[in-house]
Amino acid sequence: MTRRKHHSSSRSVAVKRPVRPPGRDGFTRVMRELEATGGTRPHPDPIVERLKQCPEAFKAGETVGKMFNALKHGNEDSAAGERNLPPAGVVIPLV
Amino acid sequence: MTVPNIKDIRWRYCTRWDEKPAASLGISLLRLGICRTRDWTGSAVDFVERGFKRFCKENGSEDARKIWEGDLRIMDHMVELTEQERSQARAEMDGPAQRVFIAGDFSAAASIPIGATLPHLEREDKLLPAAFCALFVHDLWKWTRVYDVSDALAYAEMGMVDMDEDQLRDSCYPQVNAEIPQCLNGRLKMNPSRALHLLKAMQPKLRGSTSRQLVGHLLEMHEHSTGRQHAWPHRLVQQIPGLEEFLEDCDGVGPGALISWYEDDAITACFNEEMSYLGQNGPLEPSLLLDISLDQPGQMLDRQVTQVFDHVGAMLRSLASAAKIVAIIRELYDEHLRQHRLKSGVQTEPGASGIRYE
Repeated sequence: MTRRKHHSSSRSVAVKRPVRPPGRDGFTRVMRELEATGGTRPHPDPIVERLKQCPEAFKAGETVGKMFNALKHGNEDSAAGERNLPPAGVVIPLV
Repeated sequence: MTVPNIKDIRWRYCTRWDEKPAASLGISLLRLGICRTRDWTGSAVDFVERGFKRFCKENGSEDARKIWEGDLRIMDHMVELTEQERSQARAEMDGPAQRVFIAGDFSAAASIPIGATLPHLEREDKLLPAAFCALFVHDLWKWTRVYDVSDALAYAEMGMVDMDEDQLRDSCYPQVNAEIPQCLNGRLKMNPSRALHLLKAMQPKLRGSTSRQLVGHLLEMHEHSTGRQHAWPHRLVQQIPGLEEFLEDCDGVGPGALISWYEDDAITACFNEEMSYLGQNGPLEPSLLLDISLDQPGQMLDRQVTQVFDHVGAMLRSLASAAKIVAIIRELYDEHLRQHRLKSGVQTEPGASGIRYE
């Protein structure tokens, strides 16, 4: 049985980084996201943040929602005389 | 025309408040490997849903769904709420829900006309029909209310109390007792333990392939349900405030299975009559209710989540085995109808026959 000779070197041997199990990074990232969502710290909601930058989008969405509700429930809302107006500068095509 | 442009927004949206219970559950599901990192889309509710769907699929939900009609849901309230009720409930709460529920409902009773199957079993052994029925009903009851001859007998007995002879002659009630097949007469209340013992002893000696399949699937179903008890909602009344009051207002629980002899027999007639009153005095209570308390340390939460998901997994696997039994029973019934030149009303195709509709 032969043994391979190890090359001795005066150079410093680089410290090996511990091997991470595959997918561990993803696990940590998702765990952090879930902890942030479930935690008590106020955590910005990306959709709400974007809506804050563009309040018209919220108004438009609300109007579209009401239109769909009116269609779904047989125009019950419109009977009460409530009008759904889009925000200024926004035109929503009639469905 | 100007329409606000919002890209990369999911079609379904939950507020952060509503996402919190899902996030707490999701953390546990991720630790337990039920949810995976690739399930993450940015929403905790989606995350839990994806993991739960995969879990159900892996445990046979697709096979079970071919026969059993109903829902299995994870909810942050013990009953399903409308958007208005949800807003009202939210206004009364100090913080997001600290508890999630797994609720199961059967929206229709699967028709199981077992009459044509009994002679196949009887040819093997005169005790086999009774043993088969006893264990099948016993194991089904662990997951759903089963309407069978015993319910019909009780209903008929009550109905006959005030009837005179003329009325009795025209009534289906006396037929419930008269139609009990000979092979089950006097053996309707066989002890499930004895039935299991008999089935295990008979299994190696079975000659017919149909009987072998039926008994094989039944023992498989029993294996999945061994050690389980029906998770009736009333078991949680001590832990969940308001549940007792809710259940008091409910009008019973709808059966998920109807075991009759033939499609239009006296059992079915009693079932139809009884079900026409069900739900008139209040909502139906869930067939199954399990709870997970989220405000506990990680290890304890994981233990509870494991217990709850083990129960759900056992239910799905057991119902998947039961679905194979029902499919064979329906095939035999259809064969019986063909031989007697009758027209079948029972579906054998995937999609399940729904007899009782809410």
